[in-house]
Amino acid sequence: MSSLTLVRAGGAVYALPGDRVRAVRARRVREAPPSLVPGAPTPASARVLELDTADGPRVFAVEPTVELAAIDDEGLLPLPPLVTRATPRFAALAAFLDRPAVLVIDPDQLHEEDGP
Amino acid sequence: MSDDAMSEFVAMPARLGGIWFALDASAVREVLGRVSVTSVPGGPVGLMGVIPWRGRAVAVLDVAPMLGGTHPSQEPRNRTVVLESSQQAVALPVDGVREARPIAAPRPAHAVRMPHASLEVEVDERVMALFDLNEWLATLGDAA
Repeated sequence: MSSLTLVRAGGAVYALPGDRVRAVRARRVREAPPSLVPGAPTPASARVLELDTADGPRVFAVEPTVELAAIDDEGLLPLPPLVTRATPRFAALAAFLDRPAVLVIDPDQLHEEDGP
Repeated sequence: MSDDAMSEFVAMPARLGGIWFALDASAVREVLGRVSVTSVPGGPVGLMGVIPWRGRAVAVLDVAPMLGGTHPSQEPRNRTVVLESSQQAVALPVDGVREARPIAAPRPAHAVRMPHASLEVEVDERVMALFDLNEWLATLGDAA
């Protein structure tokens, strides 16, 4: 089983490996983190997701709704090359039995140049 | 037409809006109903998203732009054809499909024109483009 943190950004839900999420907290004054999804507007009432990434700890803006989920490893489906070549930030498709599938973000593929 | 000629090729007609096109039935793995597609931000043009299918994620591709772009990409479609090429499996949402049937061998496209369809077939006296999945995937792969 893998633990996932489900966050909403840019109107869609994404999953992150639970062990890479340091915290989800309120945004501080003057803090302007990028959206988790490039090009997506940063919500005004965003929370901040603190992630361990290959570049060190980073923060991203996410929408207020955050959930935890557990998934059997067989439910983490590898993405086709057509997708991974174009968008390496996505590591897998989490196919749940009781809710719509969501993309799993690879924190190590979130780089400094990503952002709004 | 002889039985030998009729058995050369098996086509599955598919429809998007009012336009029919043909798929190589040997590549068709399953015809699903309407599916919930997970969008992929930043994906190549033509990629609607991905769906889980038989233990893997399959790319969902939008045929509409090849048919003239008159069909809104986000409009739900009643059928989803899963095909497997030499490269990977993909899913094509369409409005309808008909049963696969043996037909005469495809011929060079002349009566109908459609990107990634250099051949055409005739099914029930209707001429339709034969969609070349491998060529389209190669194009998408180059663009990605």
